[in-house]
Amino acid sequence: MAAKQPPSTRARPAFSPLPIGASSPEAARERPESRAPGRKAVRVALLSYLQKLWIFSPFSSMVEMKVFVAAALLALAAAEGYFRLPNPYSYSCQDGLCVKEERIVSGEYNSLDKCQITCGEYGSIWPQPTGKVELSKETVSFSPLHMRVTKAATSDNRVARMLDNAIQHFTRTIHFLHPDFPQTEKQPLTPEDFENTGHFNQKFQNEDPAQQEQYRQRSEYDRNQLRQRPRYSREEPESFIRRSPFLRKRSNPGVESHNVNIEITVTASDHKLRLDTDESYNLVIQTVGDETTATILASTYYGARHALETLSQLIAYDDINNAVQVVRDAQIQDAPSFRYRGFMLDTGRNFYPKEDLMKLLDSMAYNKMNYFHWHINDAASFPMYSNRVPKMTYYGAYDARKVYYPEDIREIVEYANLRGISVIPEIGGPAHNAAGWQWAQKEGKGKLALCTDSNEPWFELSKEPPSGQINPINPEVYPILGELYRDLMDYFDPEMVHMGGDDVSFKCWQSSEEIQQYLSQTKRESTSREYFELWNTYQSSAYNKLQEAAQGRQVTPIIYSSSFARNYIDKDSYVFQISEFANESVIADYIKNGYKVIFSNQDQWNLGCLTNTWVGDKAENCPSEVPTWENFYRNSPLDMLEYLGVNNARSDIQQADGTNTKNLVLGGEATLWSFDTDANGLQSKIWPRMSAFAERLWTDPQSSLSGTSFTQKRLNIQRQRMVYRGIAADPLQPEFCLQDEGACFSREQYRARTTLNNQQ
Amino acid sequence: MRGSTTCSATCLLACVVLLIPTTSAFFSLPSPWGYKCVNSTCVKEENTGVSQARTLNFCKLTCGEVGVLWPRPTKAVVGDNVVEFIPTNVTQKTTCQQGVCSLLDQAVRIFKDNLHRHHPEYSKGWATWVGPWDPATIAHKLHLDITVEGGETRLGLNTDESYTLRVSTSGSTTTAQIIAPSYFGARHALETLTQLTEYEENRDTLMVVNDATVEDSPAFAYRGILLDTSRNFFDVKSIERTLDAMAANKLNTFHWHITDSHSFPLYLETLPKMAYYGAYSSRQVYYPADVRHLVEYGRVRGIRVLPEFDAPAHVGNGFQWGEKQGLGKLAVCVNQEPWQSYCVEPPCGQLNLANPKMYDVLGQIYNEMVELFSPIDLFHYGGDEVNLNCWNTTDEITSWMDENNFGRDADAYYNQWSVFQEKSRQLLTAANAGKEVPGILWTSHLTEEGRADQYLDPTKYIIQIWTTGTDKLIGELLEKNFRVIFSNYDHWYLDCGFGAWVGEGNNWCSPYKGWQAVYDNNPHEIAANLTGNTYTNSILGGEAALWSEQVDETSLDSRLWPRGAALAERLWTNPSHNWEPAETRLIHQRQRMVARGIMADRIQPQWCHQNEGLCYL
Repeated sequence: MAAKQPPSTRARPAFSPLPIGASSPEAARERPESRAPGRKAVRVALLSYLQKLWIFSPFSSMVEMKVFVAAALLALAAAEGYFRLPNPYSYSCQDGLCVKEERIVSGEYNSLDKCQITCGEYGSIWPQPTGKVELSKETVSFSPLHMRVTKAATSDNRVARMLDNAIQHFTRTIHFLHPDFPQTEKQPLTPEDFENTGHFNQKFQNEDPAQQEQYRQRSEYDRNQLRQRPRYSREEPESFIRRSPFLRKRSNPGVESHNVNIEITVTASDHKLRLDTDESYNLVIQTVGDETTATILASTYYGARHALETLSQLIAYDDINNAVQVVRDAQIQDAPSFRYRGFMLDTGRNFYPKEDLMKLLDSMAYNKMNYFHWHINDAASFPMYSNRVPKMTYYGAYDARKVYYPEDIREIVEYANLRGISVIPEIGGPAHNAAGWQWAQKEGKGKLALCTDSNEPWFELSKEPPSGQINPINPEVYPILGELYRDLMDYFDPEMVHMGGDDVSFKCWQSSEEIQQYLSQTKRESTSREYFELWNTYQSSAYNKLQEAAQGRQVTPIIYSSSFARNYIDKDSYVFQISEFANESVIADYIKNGYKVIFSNQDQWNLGCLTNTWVGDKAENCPSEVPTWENFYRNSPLDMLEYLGVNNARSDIQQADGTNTKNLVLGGEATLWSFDTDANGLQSKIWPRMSAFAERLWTDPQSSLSGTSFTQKRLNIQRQRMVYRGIAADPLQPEFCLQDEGACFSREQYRARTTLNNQQ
Repeated sequence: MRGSTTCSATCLLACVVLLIPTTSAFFSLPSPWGYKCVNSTCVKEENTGVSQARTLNFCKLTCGEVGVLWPRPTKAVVGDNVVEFIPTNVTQKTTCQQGVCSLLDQAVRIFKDNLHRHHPEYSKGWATWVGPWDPATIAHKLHLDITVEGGETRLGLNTDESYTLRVSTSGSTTTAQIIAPSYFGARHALETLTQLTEYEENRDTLMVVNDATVEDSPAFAYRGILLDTSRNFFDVKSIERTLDAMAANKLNTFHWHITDSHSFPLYLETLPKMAYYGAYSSRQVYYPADVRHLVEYGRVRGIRVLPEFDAPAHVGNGFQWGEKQGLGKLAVCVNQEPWQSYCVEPPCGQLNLANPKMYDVLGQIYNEMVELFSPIDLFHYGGDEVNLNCWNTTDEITSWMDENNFGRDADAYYNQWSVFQEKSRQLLTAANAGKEVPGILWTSHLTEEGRADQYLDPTKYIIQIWTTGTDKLIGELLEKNFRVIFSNYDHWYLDCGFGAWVGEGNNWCSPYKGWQAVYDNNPHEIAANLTGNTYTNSILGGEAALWSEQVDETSLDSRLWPRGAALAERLWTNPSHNWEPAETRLIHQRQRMVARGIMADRIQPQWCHQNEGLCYL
């Protein structure tokens, strides 16, 4: 689009001069006209200003006057090409922070982008790697068009295809670094986009040793050919690259001759992420002459994918050369601290379109998170299209446009897998069920869900409106549940299935005539003990249905922690999700009793508490203070266990009783209950707070937050990076703080820094 | 309809393929649910085909006293039936004076576009209307008959924004008759008319209430949103969207806090170095054409774009060039550390009172701003949060104070600050070709107890209140005859409730101000509580402020809306009740904004929209 603009507007690259669509027809007429006289006005205004100065001269001496006039004339001359001048500031790395300084004309110019990726021990890598990290302080610039994969070694065809996709995603993120890449075009890569790039697929589909050798030992002739022929010049470029500003204008000549080669080796053939998947990787960047080679070694696709993520974080825009720059030499060894780094999204209370879920998966991948817990339905709606029980959806969806069809779900699951993410579906129970179950009564199946009468006050029956709970004594319930589980097996092929198990209201069952009759017929009292038994009837029947549906595949159920779960649930068959507030003593009991757990402390890792005022004006179930990124960062499962008296929580050594805390703590999950969120507010509510969470689980840093300014600066950059990639993450600070890393400090940080400086 | 339960893994694919045709046909069946209006509430019930169940949109339009109009009109009677039409079938007749007619043409064009935006598949100025329609629908016409009596083309504090709207249907025409004393009232009437239309999902048409009478005028003359574009930058498109959403809520003032100590994103043609040194980057700059465009974009939508140049504090980055050009230091304490000693938040900076050349530059800034925003009817001077320690630790200023025998105590500095303010006012008036316009100032040390009338002339200044609604100061200002605008932070600061951006914990004005808190803030009540008098003439209105330390264009919409809509009803209607009766209408207004392309936040599960009145406390 910029190429079509009249030359006069090119000097001011800030905005597209055309307004959005038909929404502003008047603007379309006026803006181009008003731009042209604007420039004339500069001169007129300046001249009149100079005249005024002459008459009412405020300057005390002629010299000053001359200086000012000269400056003004200079400004006049420069006005059009004004912002083509380089930035007035340069950055230097001081004690791990990029400090802004006015640029000295003769001095060396270091851009902020360069400083960000090279300054400090970890540059701007997020999450911080757990192994060795060495980064050179220098960068080397290249055109993204001269970056290619010269080796993608794997013995598995499927992994090869997955690598192709990962490389494409990686390439996109590099093109997105250009500030003129239109933000609206940064949409998830559709399968069609990917299909269009056949040449990619063919090239690395198999591990033909001869072919690999050929790539490795390219002749000088080949190299010259490659240099002269940017890769995308002949072939039809991929749709996203077609929009890349890097394609419209060549990089500076000095940069054009530099090649970046990426060599990937994956040794194992895993093509589905599981809890025991090895996600580690090695990344080495070496620059010799005009060749930079990034070598990635990983045992699985998932490690290799993470390596590309890290590599993308070592590359930044180069504003001088219309190019990008990569850290010249680097060595990184990395592996996650926790196996389960998850996020739960509730699509039952409000619906999220498929594209938004894909964007969510992209953004999780940018932070190396690996499990997406999909809370599909709730009492409010049932948006999953069930092939086997379509009436669930007919009655339960908000409307016909707010449905996840099987093909949508499969696409999302496959998309997630390519991003290194496994999807855990949840159709939970017995609480949180109403929408969708209405159809059965008319067909003579009785009430499948109880307490759904809106004439009853919801607060007597559940935690929130709408109320509704599965009827555990209606035998019709379980075959239907079984059918829904079969649907889940078909759509998701899941490693784990979440069964809910939270917020069960005994008051609901108590108020139900049907349940009361059942209890009196079977000569039982209306006591909480009996209600626990009812719950157990539900849970064990549901469990059996799930295992039936799995047809011999191993599917691990997850259940929310509760006193029911502690007393009735077999610790070896289930994984427990702990929603207790941090430091509640009961948390230690799970570990002491050998449960496998996922931490999800709702006072620390609940993303929904930001604006929660949906029922009335009081926030419920939220701490009085909004969990900030520091809460997400600081909440350490292992430290919490140590504090609660679990010995050697951080130790790798097996304890005397044969258990190992680190094996029992699978990881953590941040949650977003969609009471007052839908796709409009999703990204800004979860990011960048969830990035902080991601580093806690990937890196599990042991040091306290005393170095917050270092963490804060990397987090600011990570946020900025996500915005470049089309994610609407919230800013944590004014952009000023991103541009001057040492400027926005608290008193504590200031003291810590001055002490540090004094020591040096 | 049920799929085979014995389907094995191998035939699964076949099953899926077989099911696809049924899948797509599935939801073209009518929804199993319908709605009935019972006691002014839309009640969801199963659609048995026997009773007269309506669609949700039909019910929303016609149920209750005013349907889903937002902000609630002063007086409205809304009929209980609708007629269907296709949005391409809209005609108009306008009676107006020349300057007004061209504005009116644009307003009608926006109105028509908004009709198309009701369609769920609207995208980029276009929606597919495919029917099937019956002949009566195809023949039906919506006719606009608009009369504007006055010739005003610029919004002022005295502009009459009232209107009457009569919708009536006879035969195959629904006529919307609009009579308004000014263009601005007529524009509001078109917004109201849009709210009397909705999408009809079964027949892919629009419906309009067949019969309605609305007589309406605002409770307050000043109904504003503040956006700070200095802490973080907002691109022009995001500001356009904000103006669109403001127009949808009949808000009329976009208070543009353009600059601050953090950045100076305004390109001034005679002082280009301000942006060169002060903008975050060359792409984060408002060029003159952008500003003029936004001023006009707002005017067409009934919105005054009000410029603020905050001084003498809240300046800094952008002023660094002065010294090098031989003008001396224009600002002092710029980026000085530790910031805690010299300002309220990093980075610091304050104008250099001791440097007479500072006034030349200030005058020049005013010249350009007045020209860009012209003609201005108000100007915001900022004037908040001056840090005396900054001035008192700057040698240049202390020696200037000593040389002139001004003294060095707090009062001495306040005196000089007020001298600065008076000079600023004169410079602005000069820039405005000698025409005085009321200036707006934030509450500050100058307006503290017993000080305001000592330093400031109530006939020349309007005070914008940002302290809490219980501050005695508010009473004092009213009693001293200042005109005021309310922005008390305990209700109308939309940036509260997030993590602190320096250090730990939540930010200073936490918690988050939910829409309920925004809605319930009643300026007249505050005044009455403090003084026993509602001061209806002195209270010009109110404004919600979005300071942008922790927001930028990525999440602007969800931060502002729908809370801005809650503010709008408080200022337009000034209802005597609290938020509760407004809830279902607000949820619908939020849906409407989303349909128009505003990424407004959800405030409840969609279930509450479909099950009116059941998400009670």
